[in-house]
Amino acid sequence: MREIAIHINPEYKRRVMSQSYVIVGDGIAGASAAETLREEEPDADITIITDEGEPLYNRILIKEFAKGKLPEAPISIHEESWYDDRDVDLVLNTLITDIDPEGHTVTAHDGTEFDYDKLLLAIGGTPTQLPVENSDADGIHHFWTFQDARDIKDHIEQADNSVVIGAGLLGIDLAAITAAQDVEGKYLMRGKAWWRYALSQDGAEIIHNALRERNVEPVFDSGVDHFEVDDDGHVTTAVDPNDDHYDADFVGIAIGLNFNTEIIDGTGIDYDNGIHTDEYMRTNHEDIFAAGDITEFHDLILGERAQNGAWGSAKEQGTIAAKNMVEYGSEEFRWVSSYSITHFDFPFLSFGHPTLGDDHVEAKYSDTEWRRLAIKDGKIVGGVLIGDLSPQTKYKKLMREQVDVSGQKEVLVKQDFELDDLEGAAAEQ
Amino acid sequence: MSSQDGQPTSVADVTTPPTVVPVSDVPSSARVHHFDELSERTQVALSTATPTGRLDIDPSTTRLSRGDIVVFTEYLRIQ
Ligand SMILES: Cc1cc2nc3c(=O)[nH]c(=O)nc-3n(C[C@H](O)[C@H](O)[C@H](O)COP(=O)(O)OP(=O)(O)OC[C@H]3O[C@@H](n4cnc5c(N)ncnc54)[C@H](O)[C@@H]3O)c2cc1C
Repeated sequence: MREIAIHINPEYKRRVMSQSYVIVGDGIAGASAAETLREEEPDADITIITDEGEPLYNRILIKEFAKGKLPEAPISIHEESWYDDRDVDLVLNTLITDIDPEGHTVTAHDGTEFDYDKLLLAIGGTPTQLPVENSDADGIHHFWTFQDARDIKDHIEQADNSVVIGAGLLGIDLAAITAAQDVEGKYLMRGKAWWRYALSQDGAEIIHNALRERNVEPVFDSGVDHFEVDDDGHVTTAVDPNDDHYDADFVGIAIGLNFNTEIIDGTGIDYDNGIHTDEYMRTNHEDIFAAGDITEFHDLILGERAQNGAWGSAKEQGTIAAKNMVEYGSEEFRWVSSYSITHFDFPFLSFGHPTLGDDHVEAKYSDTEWRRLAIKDGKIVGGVLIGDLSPQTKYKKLMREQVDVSGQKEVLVKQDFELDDLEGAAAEQ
Repeated sequence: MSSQDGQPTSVADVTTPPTVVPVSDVPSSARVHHFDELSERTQVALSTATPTGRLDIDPSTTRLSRGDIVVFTEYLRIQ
């Protein structure tokens, strides 16, 4: 008997046969992709797999829970019924360990295989461990999941003194938790300023003062050389490279994220720090997409590869990825990310890529008001606003529209800056 | 999650500009949003609203509902 090869036109298949979509990761990127896929493809098979034990929750509110200010319930975003109602298969407690792009399958730690037509990797990152002695001792916390927040809350409520390490956006959450829980603390930083790659001394000093008011003492030119532990293996002391000793029965570490790229290794999917995608969130594999913190995407505004680590961006990438999984090329990701700090009585917002740039401009207006803009090739690529967030719309517009602000940077930081203040082409935007 | 402000679409019950009031206790039944979940326009409105002042958001596009709490420099209830 002669074998007949049947080729199904992909467009026909998409329209007539139900597609199967598998999403790995039920964070905001994966969950928003599932929602969009269901809206776009009512008949598709959609499976979302997570190694966590609970469905999507609000990762950016877990700090408020750890502070003791929010109960658990409002932090949950989706009940399991949310998935049932949308006919989305939710698979909890399941770690995907292998991807076979040719066979179109992913395999879980227990050997279960999931077939897909299109795959979305929305797998985020894992906090980086400090490579020093005793960094895995009891009482030392990293902060990414709701379970981490529960452990932190339980512990900090009993703690006498604390040390926080990591002078960035997650470290300050840990410092704010110790402050909210009235535990005296030391915040050990390298260099002389909090988030020194995005803030100058002037800007950082506003944050330092706010921390001091809350009984958290910034310690500069410090860090951790090793931890000391008691006979039960519980941390007692952080010892810094200057051999200064800081008593701490609670330690919080937030020195960065390792992106969860281990499962990509050997698959042929391009990655570096994160998974490479184009502006449609597609990898170099036609049927594999990525979204959220894990992506190093082609940033249309910056004109180069970039990585965002923010809720709004991850959500938008999930939505855009889903649209392009259904119809490739239908919508591009073009987004100015932002991230705020809400722990103090003055507002703080960073946007775009505030640590990049070949130039910058900044101005201080009062003890709690300051601005800095990062500029690259004459264009705004990011910034930090402290005290007054109202100019964010103007700066983001200039950034989004890639307006050349060369020679006009001082105008940009006039306290009452208006777009009309810019001369020539820039002002016409 | 289908709206600009990260809210379900079924709750667009804001028909006149709402106001904000600082609160200190959050009941378990409250819907709570972090500032970073909100649209740029709502963020600017919140950051310029005076305490107990009117919130300059467009009731037809925002999905914030009365009774929702926003975590900003303090906890603000929309009412
Ligand atoms: C404490 C904290 C505070 C933050 N505060 C803010 C803030 O104020 N503003 C802001 O904009 N952003 C904030 N962020 C950052 C923001 O939460 C992230 O940018 C966003 O949640 C990223 O979403 P994601 O879906 O890309 O990744 P994630 O939320 O990390 O989700 C990835 C999911 O995939 C799962 N996973 C990974 N690998 C596998 C695998 N192999 N198999 C199965 N499942 C897997 C993970 O367990 C995880 O559940 C904060 C983050 C933290 C931790």
